[in-house]
Amino acid sequence: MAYSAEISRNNPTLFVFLIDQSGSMADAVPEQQNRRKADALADAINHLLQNLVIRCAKEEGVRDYFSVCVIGYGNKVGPAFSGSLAGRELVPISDVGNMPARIEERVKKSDDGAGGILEQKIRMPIWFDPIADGGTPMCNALAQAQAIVQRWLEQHPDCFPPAIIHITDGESTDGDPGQMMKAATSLRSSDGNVLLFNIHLSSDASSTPIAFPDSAANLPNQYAKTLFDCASPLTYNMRMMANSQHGMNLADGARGMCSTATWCL
Amino acid sequence: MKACVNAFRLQKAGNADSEYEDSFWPQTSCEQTLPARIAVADGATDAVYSGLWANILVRAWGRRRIKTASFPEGVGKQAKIWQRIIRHRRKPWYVEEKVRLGTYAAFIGVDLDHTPGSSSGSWSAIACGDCCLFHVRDTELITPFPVSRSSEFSNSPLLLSTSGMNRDDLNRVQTATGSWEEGDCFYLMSDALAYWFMAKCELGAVPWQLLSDITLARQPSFQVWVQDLRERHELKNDDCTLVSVTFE
Repeated sequence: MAYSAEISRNNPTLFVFLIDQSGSMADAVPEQQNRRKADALADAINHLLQNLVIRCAKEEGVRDYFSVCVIGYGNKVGPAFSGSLAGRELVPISDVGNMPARIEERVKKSDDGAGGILEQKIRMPIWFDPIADGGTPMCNALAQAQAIVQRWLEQHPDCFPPAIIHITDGESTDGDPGQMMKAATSLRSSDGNVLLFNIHLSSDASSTPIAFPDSAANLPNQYAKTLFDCASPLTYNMRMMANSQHGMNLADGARGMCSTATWCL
Repeated sequence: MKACVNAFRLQKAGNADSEYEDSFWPQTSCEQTLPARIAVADGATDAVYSGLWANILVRAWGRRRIKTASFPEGVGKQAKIWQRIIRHRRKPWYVEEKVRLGTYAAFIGVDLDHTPGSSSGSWSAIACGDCCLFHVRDTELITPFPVSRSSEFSNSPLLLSTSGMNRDDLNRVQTATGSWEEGDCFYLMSDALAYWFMAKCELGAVPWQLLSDITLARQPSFQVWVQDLRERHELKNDDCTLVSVTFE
């Protein structure tokens, strides 16, 4: 059965984050006028990396179940880690855990259960800083991702298929990304094809958020339909987890695509 | 009479021996004067210091520091011991974060008692999660506990937590009682082996015959047998623990 390979230190898998850093990411998040999309996205990526590290953490250290690649695209295209990981393309998750650019102290607000707000100081590791500059060279970024994934698969032919998480707020300025996306998802390990998740961040506060649609019928425009067409169908286990643990009701055919998704940051 | 306990363990393939996170009591194969206490615990893979937690639980059970009648309180006291042990260890941010979430283990503890002047006795067990007990007499599986079908195993069983348990969780802690006779055998297992055992039973097989060969005649060796089952994909790749109890 596809997508059933064990993820282990002997057989790790790969996460590739493709991050839009174009000038439009300086726009405000809808309904949060003091927060730029680039800032919200950086928070989300740092939080995701933090979660990935914690998932792999044991008392003796971080187990290398994954490697991570973060590629930014805007004024330039390339590895987007900050700090001591800057310039590194493929980073084992243990290095991610042990080498954040810095650890910031932030205040987390939560319900205190008695009608008040509880403020708690938390430590937030930072690997990725917000950038909003230049055009949207999505095809170049996808080509880099494809090359990295291809090299990974040559070294890990039986791995759980790598996942590319692509987060963008705009349309490509260097060509049609559809063919590049299809080329990336045509790569495969013995366990299945590479998975592509497209997350579209909109500046339009009036758009209805759409998460993991199983048809393109209600998508707002052709661009969203392209992102839908190229996104991978969610695996059976992903749908089961979304339905049982996150209260969703995803049907067979649901795709790894979210539209107007700033709400999830 | 005495309980003859044989214990076997093998870590998950690909892991070091030091990364084995199950635990069992008694901690070596031995003869135990009745009444005796036996336990198996399985530290959660996703958590930190879960092997330590599993070890604390089985030791506390074996040394009667956890009682069935006051199980939550007993577990709560052991959770404080876990917290005290790890509090002063140097921890990187990701371990600190995970410690804050607490740790978890599945647990089964068994009390074996002897009826004076007879070759029989009673047993009682308490379980939280998917570590299992199988009570076998001759060619019959008398009691599977707490799981009675392979379909009941899941990836998210209820586990004993160092962060305390709510009332709903406590209601899901299960107990069982029964009686044993000379010639009976008890097998305690962590979940991977227990799933294999239940699945075999559902196919009409008698897996305890094989376990009897392994635990008493030691042919084949436990390690060779488990590795063979893993290679044939009959056994999930996980820490494996088997404790057998017979009576003499």
